[in-house]
Amino acid sequence: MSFLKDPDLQASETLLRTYGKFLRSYKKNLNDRVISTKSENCENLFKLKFGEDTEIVSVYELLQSDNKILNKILMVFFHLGKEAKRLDNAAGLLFFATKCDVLFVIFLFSRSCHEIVDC
Amino acid sequence: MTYYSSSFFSAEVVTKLLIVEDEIRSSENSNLTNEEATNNVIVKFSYALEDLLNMKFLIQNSIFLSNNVIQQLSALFSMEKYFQISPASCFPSNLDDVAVLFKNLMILDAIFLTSDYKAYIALYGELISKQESKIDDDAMRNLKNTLQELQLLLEGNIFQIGIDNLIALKGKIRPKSLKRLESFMLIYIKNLINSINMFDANISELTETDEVIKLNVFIVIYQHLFGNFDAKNLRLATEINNKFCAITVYNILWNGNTFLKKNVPALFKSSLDVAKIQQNFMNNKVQTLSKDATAMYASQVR
Repeated sequence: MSFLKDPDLQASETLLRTYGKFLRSYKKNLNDRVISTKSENCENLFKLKFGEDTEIVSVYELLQSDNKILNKILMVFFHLGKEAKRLDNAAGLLFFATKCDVLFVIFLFSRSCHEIVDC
Repeated sequence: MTYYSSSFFSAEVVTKLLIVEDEIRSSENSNLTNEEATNNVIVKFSYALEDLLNMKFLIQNSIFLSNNVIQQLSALFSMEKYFQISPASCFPSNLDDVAVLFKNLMILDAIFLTSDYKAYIALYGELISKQESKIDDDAMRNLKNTLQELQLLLEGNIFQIGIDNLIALKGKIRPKSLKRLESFMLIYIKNLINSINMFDANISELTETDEVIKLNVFIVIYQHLFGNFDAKNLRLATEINNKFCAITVYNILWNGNTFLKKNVPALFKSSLDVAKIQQNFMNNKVQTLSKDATAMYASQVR
């Protein structure tokens, strides 16, 4: 089994790793920031925007009406939409490569030639 | 064997794979016995397995939620005697959500098809089998079942599994609601076509491609659920796909006509030459590229 021996390649590999770590921590901080901004007391809240002014109203308050069936229908579709957004965010954040990961793709290509574990 | 080429996975997953790789290297260079080295590799592989299981749960949830949205919409349409519901204005954003979830399934399909994860799981299975005598029977059975389920996901049929679930749901919907649902989806597709046709070709190629993907996903869903997508709308969708013939989704190059041809071959009696369309597009693009770039630059500067 052959591995990288060239010191130059090893150095560039280490450099890429360091840069990768930096990008990962940057991405994580950015995601944390976005999530914290979104989730600050905004659970089940609906944001209305009229021109320059904004108002945050709870969906439960917004849907208060005498028609209980209509309230229920709106709540069901609101929660379905919310759950779909959550799953989409989870997919985006956890699994799909972002632009920051281009470096990792390069890194992978640089190592893809290696043969590992022949069991 | 080649270890992996799963370049579409996120940094977290890739990092874990690199850790495994490093561990294997260090095991070989160390004084560990073969057995100890194998155990070491199994432990490290399990980290990547965790990500695959998370993906599995995400896929299951996405399919379940899509079914739920369609079921709730059909239930809503069955309440006509209580509400006057117009299919033109009723919860289109929930259909958007279904399209987005199916888009994610489609991307995961593309990821798994281009990755060596299938071989990777097989290798893990082989290593585990060698340790069979040391593992509890129940735990071993559960692990093998899990690996089998993951193998199924890695076949690249996730999108089709989602569609099959929707088709199975069709049997549970009343015919009257189904008819309303059909007109609701058709209106949604027509609205998508109209909104995409309003895009500026030069800009939207880069920014508004999601709508094109949603359109194609919904044509596939509509065709599988109702089986009668009309030729006029199909022609409009094909024209849109020709206009946006190379869409990048994350790291994947995606073509709408190829996608439609793969998932609803019945709609295409005559075969489409995607390569030729792309070549024509490139030829036209090359001629206007410098002019477009100048125009875009000027608009940015202004």
